[in-house]
Amino acid sequence: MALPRVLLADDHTIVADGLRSLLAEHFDLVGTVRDGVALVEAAGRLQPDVIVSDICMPVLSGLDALRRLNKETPRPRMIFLTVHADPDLAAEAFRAGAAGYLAKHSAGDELINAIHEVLRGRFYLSPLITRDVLTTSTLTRQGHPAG
Amino acid sequence: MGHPVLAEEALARTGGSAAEGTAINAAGSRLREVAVLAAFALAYYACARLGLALRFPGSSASAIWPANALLLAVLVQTRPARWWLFLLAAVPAHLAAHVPYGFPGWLLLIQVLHNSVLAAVTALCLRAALGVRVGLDDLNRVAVFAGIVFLAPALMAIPTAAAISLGAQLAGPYARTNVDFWLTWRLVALSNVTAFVTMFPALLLLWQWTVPSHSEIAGHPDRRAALAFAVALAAAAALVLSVLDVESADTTVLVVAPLPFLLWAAVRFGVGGLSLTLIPITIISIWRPVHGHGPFATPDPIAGVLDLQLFLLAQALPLMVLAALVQERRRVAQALRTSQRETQRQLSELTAIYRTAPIGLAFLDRELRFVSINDWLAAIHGRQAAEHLGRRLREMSPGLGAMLEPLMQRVLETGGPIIDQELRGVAAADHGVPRDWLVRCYPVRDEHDAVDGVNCVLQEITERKLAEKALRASEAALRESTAQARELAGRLLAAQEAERSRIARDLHDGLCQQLAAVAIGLSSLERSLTDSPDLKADVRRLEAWTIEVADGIRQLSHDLHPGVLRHAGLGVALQSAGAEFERQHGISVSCSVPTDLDDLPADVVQCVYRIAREALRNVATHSEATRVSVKLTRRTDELDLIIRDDGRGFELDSTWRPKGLGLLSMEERARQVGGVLQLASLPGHGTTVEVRVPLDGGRDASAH
Repeated sequence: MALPRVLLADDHTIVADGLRSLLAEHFDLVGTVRDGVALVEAAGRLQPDVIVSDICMPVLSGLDALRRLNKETPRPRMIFLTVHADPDLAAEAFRAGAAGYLAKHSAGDELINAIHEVLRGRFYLSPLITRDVLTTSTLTRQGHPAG
Repeated sequence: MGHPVLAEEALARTGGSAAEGTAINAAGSRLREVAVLAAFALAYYACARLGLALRFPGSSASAIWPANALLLAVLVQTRPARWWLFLLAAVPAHLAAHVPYGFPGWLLLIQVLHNSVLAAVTALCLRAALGVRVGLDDLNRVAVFAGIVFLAPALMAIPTAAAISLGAQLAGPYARTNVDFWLTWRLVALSNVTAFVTMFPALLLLWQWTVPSHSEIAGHPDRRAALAFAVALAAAAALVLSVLDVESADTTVLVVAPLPFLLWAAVRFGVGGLSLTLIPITIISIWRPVHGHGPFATPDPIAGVLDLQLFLLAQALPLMVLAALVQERRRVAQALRTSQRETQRQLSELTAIYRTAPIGLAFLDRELRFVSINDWLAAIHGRQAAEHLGRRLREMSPGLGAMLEPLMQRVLETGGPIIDQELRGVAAADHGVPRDWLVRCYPVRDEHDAVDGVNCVLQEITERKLAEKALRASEAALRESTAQARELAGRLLAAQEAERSRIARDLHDGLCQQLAAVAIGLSSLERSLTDSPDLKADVRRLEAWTIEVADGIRQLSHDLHPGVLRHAGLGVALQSAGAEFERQHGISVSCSVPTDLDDLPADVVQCVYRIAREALRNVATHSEATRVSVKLTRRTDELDLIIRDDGRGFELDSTWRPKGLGLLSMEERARQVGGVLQLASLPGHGTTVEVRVPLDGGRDASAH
């Protein structure tokens, strides 16, 4: 059975290196890009099963890249791996169509799990921010109709 | 002429106001009143005796009855309420005077009644028509006086004559008392008219002097002179008549002999003085025919009396008219002199003001030559005022002349004034130092309304201009420094924001990423240590610490500059801030934000977000609120943020000043984007902060 194809997008070299060695043990890492535009291009070209992406990236943010990729079929499964443990941002990411959201420093086993969860068609949210997201979701329903 | 205190008032004061004074004063004034009454009775007695002495021999008819003139003079100056005192006092005097003559009682009764009623009626008329002082010093008053003193006796004599005629018929005539009604009427009426006309004014005057009421009257030198003159004249006349053999003299000439003296008295002393002079003349005039001398000593004594009375009246009335006219003339002349003096005084006052006023004043003729100039203006030209007269302005001060002459020429040509024209120039005396002037030029017109010259008023305003300039400069400096301070504040806020943002990004994108890399590395290390569980546990602990540190830094970064604002927009950031606030402080937050906020300018987003955070911080610190609402509304041209709490509020009066920097920085942030911040609060009713930030065009216009 072929390993799941994963595309990595992160502009931080150190983190990208760490993640590459982590992911290569378990998945077929088809590529690493350093900005949103390159991500959109590589995703279209490489058709990965899962994209692991930072939110903050030069030229085009991970969120905006996802919004562009959403217009293509099939829509990619995107896991955001970010230092923004902000629940509102997480909520925004899921609204934009993300499949997972993880705090970057909790990568490791958790990221591996998350990718597997997502491959199974589920959503994954880092436990570090779960509580906040629930609050925010409530808040969002009250004052900010999702749209 | 003032209004001297009158005998009436003097009496009222002595008799009527006893209650006000002390017991001694009251007793004194009562004594005084009795003395006045006694003096009156004595005078009445003397007058009555005089009248009786001036009867024609064998007749009960007197040619003149001075006692009634005295009674009238006293009543005129006495309040009617007190007349009864004098009328009563007159009765014993009247009776006493008649004792030696043996008049029948009914006749005396009729006389007393007639005299009392006549004096009272005439006094009432005079008081009503001419006032208490009577004051016969103009023609109208003399005419009114004459009318009253002719009519009243003439009318009063009718019943009296009737009574006497009747009494004579019933009781039989006394001596040669005439029983003919008309003759009696004429005798009674004319003896009173003669007394009133010739003696009343003098008796009025004498009574005023005798009952001292006012120093102005008592001390009047003219009246003293008149009295002296009258006494002297009477003495002289009596002397001349006693020395001369009057039987042999031309008696007709003697009748008019006193006329020059009377004329002189009338012209010199007025009606009162004339009357004083008339008294001795009249007495002597009557005395002589009574004793068989002169042209009036006719065989029929009654006819003689009538002729004499008519003669005396015909002599006295024109003289009174003359006296009144002279008085009138004198008064007019006096008034003229007074007004001349006043005019002179005003003129010299104005001249003094004109000369010494601290402004320049000048009048120039049609050729713009000086007609007058005041010292102040002359001093500006460095000359004496007199040197200017007849010369042109430009000769005296070329600098001012060049500026002022065109203005004055315009006034001459247009006939309209020039008001408050400001000029700056060098006056002759100033040696090249310019001064500022405020100039007014008015046309002066002659009697034909043609412009005759120019009146020029020059005011120096150099100091004022300097002060104005300094004020303007300091205002400008203040504006400048305010603007600078505001700009500095804006730059500080912007710099602070940028710095925070940079630090936040550094922490977030640098440190956090690196810590994440460390965490990821530790995670890989932990997985690779499959055969040493102790070491694996240590690495896991390290990993947990790393995550904790990263979390702390992430929070710090978030506080400094929330990434959510950058990545998810203002609406999400406000909701996030609200939620965070609710968690931290336990105060319920309801947050309402619109969706269409994506295109807002970055500085507006920054401003609104920061103000909202600051306002929430204030709610947590001061309000003791249980709930707070955050409401953001977007309109076409402005963004409106309202944060309202249900806390204790405070008194927001004119003395309220923000205590901390929070509100000031909120205001400053709003101002940086051209917005305004409003604070509303009432004790017990919470606090509302509202920020309005203009969008698009409106923002540029109102920024700074």
